[in-house]
Amino acid sequence: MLAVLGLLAAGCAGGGAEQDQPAVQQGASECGADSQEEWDELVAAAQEEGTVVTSGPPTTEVREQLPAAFSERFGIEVKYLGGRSSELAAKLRSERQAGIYSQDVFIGGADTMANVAYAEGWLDNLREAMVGETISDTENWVGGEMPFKDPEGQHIAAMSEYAPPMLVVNTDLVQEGEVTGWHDLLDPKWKGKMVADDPRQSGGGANDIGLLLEEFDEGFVVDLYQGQQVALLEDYRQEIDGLVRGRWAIGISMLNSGVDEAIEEGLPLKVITPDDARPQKTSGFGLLALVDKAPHPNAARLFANWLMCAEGNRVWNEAADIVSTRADVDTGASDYARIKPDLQYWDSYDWEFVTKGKQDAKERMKELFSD
Amino acid sequence: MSVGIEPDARPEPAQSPSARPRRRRRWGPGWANLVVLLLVGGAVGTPIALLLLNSFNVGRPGGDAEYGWGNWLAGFVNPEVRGAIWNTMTLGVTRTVIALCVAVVLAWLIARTDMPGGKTLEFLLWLAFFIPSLPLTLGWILLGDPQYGLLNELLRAVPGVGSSGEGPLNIYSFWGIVWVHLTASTVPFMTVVIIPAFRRMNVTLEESARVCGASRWWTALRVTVPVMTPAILAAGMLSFIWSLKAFEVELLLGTPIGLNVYSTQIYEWVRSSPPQFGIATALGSAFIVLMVAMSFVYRRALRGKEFTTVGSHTFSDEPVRLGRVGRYLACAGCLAFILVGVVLPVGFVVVGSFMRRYGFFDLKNPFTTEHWSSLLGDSLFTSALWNTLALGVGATVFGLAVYLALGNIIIRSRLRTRSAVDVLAWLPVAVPGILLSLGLLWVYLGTPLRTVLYGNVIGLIIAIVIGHMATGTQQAKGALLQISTDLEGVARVCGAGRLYTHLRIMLPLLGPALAGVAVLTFASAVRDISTVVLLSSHESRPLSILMLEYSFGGELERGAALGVLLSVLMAVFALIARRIAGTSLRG
Repeated sequence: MLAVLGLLAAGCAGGGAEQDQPAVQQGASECGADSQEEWDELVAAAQEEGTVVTSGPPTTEVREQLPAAFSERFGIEVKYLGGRSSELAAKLRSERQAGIYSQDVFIGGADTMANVAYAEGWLDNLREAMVGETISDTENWVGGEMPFKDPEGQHIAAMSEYAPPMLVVNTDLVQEGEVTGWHDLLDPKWKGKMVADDPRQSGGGANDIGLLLEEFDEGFVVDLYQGQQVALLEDYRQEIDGLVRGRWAIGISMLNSGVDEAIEEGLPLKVITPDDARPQKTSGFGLLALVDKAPHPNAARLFANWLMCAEGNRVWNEAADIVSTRADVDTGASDYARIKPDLQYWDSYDWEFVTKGKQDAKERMKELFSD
Repeated sequence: MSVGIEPDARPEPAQSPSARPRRRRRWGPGWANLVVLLLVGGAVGTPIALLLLNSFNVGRPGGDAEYGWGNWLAGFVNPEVRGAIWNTMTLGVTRTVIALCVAVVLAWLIARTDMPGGKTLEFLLWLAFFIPSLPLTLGWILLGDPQYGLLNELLRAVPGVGSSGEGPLNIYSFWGIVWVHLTASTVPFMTVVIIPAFRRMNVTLEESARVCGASRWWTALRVTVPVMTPAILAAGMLSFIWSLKAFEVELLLGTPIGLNVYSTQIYEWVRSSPPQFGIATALGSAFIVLMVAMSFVYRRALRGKEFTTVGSHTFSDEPVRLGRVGRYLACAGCLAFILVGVVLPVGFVVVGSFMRRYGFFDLKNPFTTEHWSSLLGDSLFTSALWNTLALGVGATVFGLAVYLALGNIIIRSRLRTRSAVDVLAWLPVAVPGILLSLGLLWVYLGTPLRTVLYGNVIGLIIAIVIGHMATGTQQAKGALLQISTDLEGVARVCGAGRLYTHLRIMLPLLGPALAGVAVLTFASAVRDISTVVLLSSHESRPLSILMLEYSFGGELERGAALGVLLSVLMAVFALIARRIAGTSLRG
């Protein structure tokens, strides 16, 4: 108990957590640079409101760094509501049914953004909320344009896009060159030696099924997941630790930040990008949208602009440890995660897949595993 | 046949069958029946009724309501449900039966005998209960993994034990799940609930049995334990229902071997996109039906029996002598169980909080204080700590008043609605936390008081008190059943008013039991995640919400640090509560 009190004193005496200052890369476009008057009016109106309320993933770094950076820049408080998207959506729906509109901005993944927020008409026009023309300039974006994910291209924008680690091997158990593609996983020696994120649940696992169904066929999926007795788990840390300890030799669809952290610790893991299928790309929790009937509309608009500009976009991607969709923001992500312009990717955030294909994939996997 | 009859009771003169001895005081006019039922029914029944109504809404989420059986069919006509039900029942029955036996023995040894170290052992059991299950389970994985578990490596060093490279223990198994639950929650919880009842045992009842020729063990089995029936039965029922709702341990240990449980089905529907609360409620309603049935069985089991141990005559809680050797053997046995089952994994959690990577001792510089620094330096920490303390203390004070009032209504009053109140008090434990939270969210938002209730600590306090109602009320009931109404009668005869009687006679007698109620209520408030996640706001969120972040992001080390911190908080509160309430009925 004395040791805990000592740490408490040290922690409090040391002040708050170290906060990274947002660093804007040389030459990056500044927010509102080509519409200074409109920008200044927006900032003044937002400061008048004084607060912006946003939801987002329950990750400590994002919760700490994003509000701190925005608040320091504009003097506006950010109330960050971290939580599972499904729970936040249920709360928001109940509030809206009671006539309460408490939230300004959404940050999150596609499942809830598309199937709940967009589907129930909660979203405002994000494209029209952007200030000036520069923010949409093609040279600012990796894909040549500001990336929107909804069919109208107006409501849901992607702040991030990266390639998740499709296959992760324990280098003590898998020799160099033994596994280079998906079909190598069907080798009988890997039977019972693989772990995957459960594709029957919401998350990255179901995206892999979508990819495999499109690149190969259902027979391949059955041969792999059932035939090779792949262990299906839901806890990322349990998956990665089991892989590191050699309980399994190969991991499918691991969490990128967890894998990177383990590799940095010197643990025997290596990411393999399969060479017999298109690689996958995703935006993870990096989707952005404005909520309609926002209690602080100007602060919301300012926050959204900041997140799509280089300055705020860098803060977000560094905190979330993923890759930006902006060409002028480099967060030093692992090479496997960067989107290569010369490669064709299978997009797990394709609207058709997100709104229909993913659910079909999950249902099919439930049927397969209940047989 | 009655048990626990006061030893100097004289045979009653013959009475007509219709005459009933006056046992309880009259509590107010008939309108009190309605008021009490409306209050309790409103607080407990409204959120549950809203959830059940929503379970029949098959309309599009956010759209117009359409009613039908679709959610119920989707939930129950699911090939995985049958297997999940079987796994859940076998796990629940197995661990409840084993835990009851172990907990009764532990509680008897700690509270009724001269075994040394009883208070320390009791405190260690509380500590096991306080530590959150996630880091504790991971500690057991480090110990019991068939390939790299530390216990297995030690055992394999013994010639002839286990094959090379694997076993003999396997934490990923049915018995592994049972073991983790027994040591992490079920046995500690049951023991904490039963111990106060044993402490109120009147030794004159046992002496009467010994005078009639019964041995020490026969007396314990046929006199002491039966008198403890209310507490033992309540602990068993509560643990069984909790075992049906449990899924965190099963998710970590059962999923890798394909062992799914019923609550996992509920959890999956809640987590789906969009979340299917209607289907989850349909599945969760099975617990409500079971709980109502069990509450009737409980009342039936206690009907017509007396459990009074503290009366207006001389009371003595003199401990049972185990003998010079026996007391140390008993201590050694308890210590062995607690060391292996509690201290070992709790120690791992503490060590894990100081590790760069939980359980990886072979890293270069494996230890660090970085996780503690980042936890204590978190911008949210101070406000969340104050919210946690406010929530814990507020829920405890309010909860004590509510549970004591309910206990008095159910046990002491003659209200015609007391049976209904008893059943209603059981109900909240049968509802999964996230669903209860959703029901309360609808209640809060639907009332004019929503600015007072929603998004602040007051609303969280009410939610915790409702969620914990079954446990708190059963503890209060068990304590009241053991105290004779003669004491109040004597006080009134001597001229004491009702308030004076309660403050100067009843509360001191109930003290140790109320300390137990306070500790468990405080622990529930401090640790709860599922009940508060939908009801808290940016301003009112407690420390437990940080635990959600850490488990979501796989930050085990910080989760372990937070778990240790919360446990220290609960332990300090427990010590304060015990000091205030006292642990003995002797003067």
